[in-house]
Amino acid sequence: MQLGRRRLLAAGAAGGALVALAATPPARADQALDVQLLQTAASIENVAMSAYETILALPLFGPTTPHTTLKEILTAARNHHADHAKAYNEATGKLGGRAQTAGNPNLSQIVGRSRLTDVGAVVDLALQLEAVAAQTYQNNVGSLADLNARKLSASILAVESQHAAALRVVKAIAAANLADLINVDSGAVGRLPPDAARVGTPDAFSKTDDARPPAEGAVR
Amino acid sequence: MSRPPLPSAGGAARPHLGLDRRRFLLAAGGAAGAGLLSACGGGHDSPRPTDEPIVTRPDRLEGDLSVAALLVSLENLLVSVYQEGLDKREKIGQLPPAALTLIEAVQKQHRDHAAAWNGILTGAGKPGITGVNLTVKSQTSEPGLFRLKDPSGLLSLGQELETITASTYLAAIGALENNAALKVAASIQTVENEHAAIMSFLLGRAPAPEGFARTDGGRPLTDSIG
Repeated sequence: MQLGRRRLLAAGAAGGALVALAATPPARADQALDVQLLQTAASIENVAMSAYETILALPLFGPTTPHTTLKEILTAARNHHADHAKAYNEATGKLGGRAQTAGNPNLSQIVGRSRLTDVGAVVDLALQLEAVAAQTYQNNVGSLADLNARKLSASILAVESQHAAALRVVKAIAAANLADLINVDSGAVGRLPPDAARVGTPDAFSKTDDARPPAEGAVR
Repeated sequence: MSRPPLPSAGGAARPHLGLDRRRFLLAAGGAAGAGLLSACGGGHDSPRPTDEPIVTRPDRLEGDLSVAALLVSLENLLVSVYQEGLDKREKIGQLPPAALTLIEAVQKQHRDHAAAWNGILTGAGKPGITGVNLTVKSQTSEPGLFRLKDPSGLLSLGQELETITASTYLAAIGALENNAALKVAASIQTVENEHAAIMSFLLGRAPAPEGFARTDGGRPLTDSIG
C-alpha cells in the first residue's frame, strides 16, 4: 500500500515513536503543497520579526538596559527571522508561488493578546514563537517534496531550535529571580539553579505538537 | 583538508534505500540491546582475534543505512566523551551544578539517539553499532580531553562536538530518502542544536551565531568507526 504524502502529514511526525512502516514511497513532487508550506513558514517569520521589533522597542531594552545578553539574543533572532522570511519567499518563488508578506493569522492573534510588561512576559512570547516555528519546520522537513526547500527548512529549523533552547534557559533563570545571571559570565554559571540549563533541551526527540497546519499561512 | 560532505541532491545521485521496506522498523530508546556488535557491514575474509578492534566505515552500507551508521558513531562518541569528562572531575574540578545536570541529561539523550538509529540498522537486518567515530575522536575529542583543565573546557569541547554532529544531521536530512528516517533525523537535529546553543550560552557565547545552519563541519561517510 502506498501512502500518499498528505496521509503522512495527517499521521504527524512523532519524534522517536515506534513506527512500523508499510512501503514508504519516495517523495513525489507536490509543488502546490510545498508552496503552501513555504508560505506558511514565511508567515511565521513575518510575525516573529514584527514581534521582536515591538519587543526591542520597549523601554525594558532601552540604551541603559541591564538585560544586555537577552537584548543581544533577541536582536540576533529578529535579524535571523528577517533573513528567514526572505529565504522562504525566494524558495516559494522558485516553485512558482507568490511571496507571503503577511503574518500568520494564528500567531498574530497570540502576539496581539500578549502583555509585554516584564522580562518574563517577553521571554514567554519569544519562546512560544520560536518553538512554534521550530516545530512547524521540523514537520516540514518530513513533508516537503522539493529537496532544496527541505534543506532550507532544516537549516532554519536548526537556528530556531537554538533560539528556543537559549530562551528556555533564560526563562528558567528569570523564574528563579536570578535575572542578573542571564548575562552569563564565568562566575554566573556556578550560581545557576541545577536545572536551569537542562530545561533548554527537554526531550531526546523533539515533538511537533504545536506545528502550524500547512495551509494556515498560505497566500489566498 | 576538506572532507566530502554526505551525498546531497543538486545533481548528485541521492543514496538509494537498499532494504526491504516491510522490515523497516524504527526503534526508539531502549531498543539498542540487540546483541550489538561493534561493526557494521564487514567484508572481512577471515575471523579476527577477539582482542583486535574492528574498524569499519559507514559507506560499507547502502543508502540510508550508511547515513544511520555515521550518525550512530557520532552519538556513541558523544556519550563516551561526556563520560570521560565526568570521570575527569578530580582533574578539572567540580562541575557547576547546572553544567553537571546538563551534561548528564545530554549524555542520556545521545544514548537514546544512538538507540534509535541502531533500531533502524537492526530492523534492516544489520548489526547495531557500539563503536565510536574514530576520525572525530582522533582529530577532535581525544586532543580536547587531553587538554581539559577546567569545567568550561568540557563545555567548550561538548559545544564543538555537538556542532559537528548537528552539521552532520543537517547534511543527512539532505541525503536520506526514507521518510520515517528523515523525520527521526529532523527530531534529533533539533536537539543537537539545542545542546550546542545551551553550551554556548553557558560559555558566554552567542547561542545562535548564524542565521542559517551549515553543513560545512558535517562528517562524511568515509569516517572510521570502531
